Amino acid sequence: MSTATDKKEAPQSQAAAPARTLWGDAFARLRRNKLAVLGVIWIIFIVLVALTADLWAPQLLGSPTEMDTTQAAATSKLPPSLEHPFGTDALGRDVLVRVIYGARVSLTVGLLATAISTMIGLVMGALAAYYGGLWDTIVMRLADIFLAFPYTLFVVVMLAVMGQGIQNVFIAIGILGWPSIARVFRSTILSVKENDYVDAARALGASDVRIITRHIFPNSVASIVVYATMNIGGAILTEAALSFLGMGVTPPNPSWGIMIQDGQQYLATQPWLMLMPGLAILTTVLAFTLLGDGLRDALDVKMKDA
Amino acid sequence: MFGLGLKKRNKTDLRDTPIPEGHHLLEVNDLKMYFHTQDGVVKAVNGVSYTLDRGETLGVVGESGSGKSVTSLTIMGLIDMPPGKVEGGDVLYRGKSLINMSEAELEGVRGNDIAMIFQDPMTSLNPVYTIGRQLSEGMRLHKGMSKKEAMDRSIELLRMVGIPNAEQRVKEYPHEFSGGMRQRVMIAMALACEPDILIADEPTTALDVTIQAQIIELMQELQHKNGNAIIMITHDLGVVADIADKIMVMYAGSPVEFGSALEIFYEPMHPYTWGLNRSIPKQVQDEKQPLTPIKGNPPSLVDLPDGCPFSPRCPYATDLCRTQKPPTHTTKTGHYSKCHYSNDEQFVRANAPKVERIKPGDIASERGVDA
Amino acid sequence: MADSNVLLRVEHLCKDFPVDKGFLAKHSKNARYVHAVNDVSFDIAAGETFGLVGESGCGKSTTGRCIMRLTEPTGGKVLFEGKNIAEMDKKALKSMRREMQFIFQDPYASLNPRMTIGEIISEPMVIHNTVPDKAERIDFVRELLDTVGLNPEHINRYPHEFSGGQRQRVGIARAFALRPKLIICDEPVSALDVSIQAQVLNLLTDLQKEFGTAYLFIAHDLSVVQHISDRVAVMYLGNMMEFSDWKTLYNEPCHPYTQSLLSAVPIPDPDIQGKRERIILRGDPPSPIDPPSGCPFHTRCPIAQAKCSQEKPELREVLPNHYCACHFAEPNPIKESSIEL
Repeated sequence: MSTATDKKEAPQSQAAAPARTLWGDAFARLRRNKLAVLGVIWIIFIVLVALTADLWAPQLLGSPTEMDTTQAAATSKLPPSLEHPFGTDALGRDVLVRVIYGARVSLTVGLLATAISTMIGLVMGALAAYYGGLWDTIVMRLADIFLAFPYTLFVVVMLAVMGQGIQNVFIAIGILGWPSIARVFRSTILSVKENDYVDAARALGASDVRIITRHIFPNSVASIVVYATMNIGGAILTEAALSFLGMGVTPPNPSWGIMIQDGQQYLATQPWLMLMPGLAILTTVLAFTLLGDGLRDALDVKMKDA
Repeated sequence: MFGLGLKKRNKTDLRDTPIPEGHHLLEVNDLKMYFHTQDGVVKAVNGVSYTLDRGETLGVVGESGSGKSVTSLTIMGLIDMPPGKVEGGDVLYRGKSLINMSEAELEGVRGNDIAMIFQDPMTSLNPVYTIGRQLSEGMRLHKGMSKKEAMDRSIELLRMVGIPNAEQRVKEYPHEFSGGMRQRVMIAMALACEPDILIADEPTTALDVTIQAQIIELMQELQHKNGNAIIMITHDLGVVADIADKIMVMYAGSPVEFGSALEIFYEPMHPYTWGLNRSIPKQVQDEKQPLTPIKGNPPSLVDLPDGCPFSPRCPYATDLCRTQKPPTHTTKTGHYSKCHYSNDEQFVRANAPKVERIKPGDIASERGVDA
Repeated sequence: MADSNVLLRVEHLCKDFPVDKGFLAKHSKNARYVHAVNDVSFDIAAGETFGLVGESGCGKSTTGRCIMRLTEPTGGKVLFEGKNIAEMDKKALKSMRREMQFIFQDPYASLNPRMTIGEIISEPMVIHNTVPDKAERIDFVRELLDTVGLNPEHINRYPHEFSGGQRQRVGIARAFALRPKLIICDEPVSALDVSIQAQVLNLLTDLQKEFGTAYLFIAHDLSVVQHISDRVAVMYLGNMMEFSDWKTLYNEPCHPYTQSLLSAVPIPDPDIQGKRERIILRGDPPSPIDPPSGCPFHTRCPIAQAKCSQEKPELREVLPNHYCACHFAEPNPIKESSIEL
């Protein structure tokens, strides 16, 4: 109770600061959020490492796929050392280089699957929210049906039909991910639509296109950016789960899920085999979640006044 | 407030202790409540003083951000500290300091000796409990009543605040009540323990005028019966004219003027009170009078102007006003004003709005007649 | 009032909202409706201010929105300069909107937070292409900012940098950008503090003097409506109860609802407030989903008789230019004007 009153009594901003843009403001606020900054740094680091891996990683650490069959006993399952910071796996491959190449798979799947989900979700959500009525009923019931299916099972079935391979993984995850984005976008648009400024634009005689592009979209995009950011983490997790089940990326290509699967039998004796890719998943997903949280706070216009 | 853990408390209520000699029912002395925020120190309440006796109604008038609500929340001990902090002053209830009271002691006072009604009857009631249960809670907590006793008393209370079919309605949930009915429930809840002081924070702002009239009438009736004091916080000068014996006008966290209702309406001394008076449309029979607004906007409570807080908007401000905090000028009746020029009778007479009274008389001698 | 002078004529306007949302519920047979506006008729002359008062849920805002066609009316006609707005196609509607504008209640929600106030105020000019040249448009916006009492240098700032009163000035500048003939003001000052409220009311009055704009002024505050209006109409539960010029309506109201409404308004003068006779209405307004039979007010009316619950009173001219929908209406001077001392 008291908090609500505090807000009411809080000082009003007195319009004295110089002109700033809202996105600039949001960026400044994001920078003040230490956890979000940590997330961004980690994401940038992973992306850079994954992108440039071909230039240095195999040279330093050896090939991520080729196994050393000749000296298998001497080089396999080595504990972390200077030469192999994350140790080596059962087939003598360096775990670090496999984690680095695994990042490529995870990031590709995470980003592209989210891109596909977001694209479908935006169109469906916008249709449902802006036109309403029958459109709304059809789209939302379709989304309900999608959401009612056991998600992982559905992906597994789709992959069984389409065949394995990284592109099919992100397509399957992407196609199945749209309902939640559509729901978020629809409810955002519906609440933005309630604002008087949308009515004000209609009263001015603005066209539908203008209302959507100038008024509704700019005010809805923030929630989508936030949701999509968090969704990337989710897609990475799904890919890992699929690979763990042997449905995702095909060996010998490295993927964090496959590595965990490979490593699980050595958990008691050589825990790094499972721990290292596990940590990679954890930190990366966490980084996207922290960034998403930070973005939500930074993009919220209303928070400014509070 | 809606906690489930009911601790029964059987101790003497503070309101049964006599008011010590030389004290009032409630005394607020130079109370200062600041909020320490990221943007700086918000001086929400900056030196509020007044006294209140049984059966009296104090109207607290001010615009949003004037500190009128925070003052009452501070008295009730409902401000989160931090960020809030009492920077000075004291609140004496029957001669006992509420500021220095422990949380446990304060719980015995809150809702029992001093009760509060909030503006929004929608959010002040918990939607998942029946009206009867919410009404009973306070009585079981403060009076040690049994469930049955408390429920019977709840029905009685609902009847008292004019809710028809009380036996039935006591079992209903808040959403089954209209806004006006909910505010009646809030009043019933506040009066459940027969408080000494009822603080009403904009109790009628969310209601329609015909419902507002009902609620105000009800509050007055109950006050007449119980003899409790009322603190009515509002932005509506009409409402205070209706109900208040004394009025405190607040601006930017400070009380700028305090006096009897008649003094504030007919002999105001502070330019801000004048400005408010000239800003509201008058009920007129023939020719409409133009409004004279107060220019500009209220100051930020983080960055208060030097000198008088009203000086940037005051049409009579001088260099003295802009640099020096105004002294408190008090008349012999206790009517005070925080303005450098309030003691200049000529200035006040020349600039105060001319209000023709329909019943001219000596205001000083009429003080408190309505009580 | 001469017919040629009529700018807007509302005839038998009705609006029902379905209670249940969703496509299927809306099309079911026993769909329930909120009867928000019920057969409302009035007209507004060029340059005048027509006040529409009533309590929350009486349909006053819906009436305003139907006139603007922000809400589609379910029945009746809205004639703007003789043309029926309710039947206009998109193109005609767009050109009509040059002549008719809207000011909203909430100064926080009515401005797009992602646009600068310059963009907000120039939007009507962009949409209707009245000032094609960008530099010229900026000059015009600066001029408008100055007219509504804002600093033209603030043209590139965002709404959140302004206080409530200043934002409302931005909304007013936007409404005046096309120099419309009619502006519908929906509770334009009720979200503002007293001192700021007076600033905005004076601004509206000044702008009306300068541009000759007519206002449909919708508000729940009777004193504010009295102050600004030439003629005033009172609504209750979607129905027009009474209307006339402000002087008659406030001093000699006919309808028992108007009388009780006026007597419920607390007057900021303790002498008057303490002495006047007040009619305190019992109970709450009935639900507009299931309105009472006959006169909508009969459930709370102090003078209701058997006839009132059976027969709905028509709006009739009880005195010249003074309309009232009551079977037993009689002019009744407000009591406080004749207090015996």
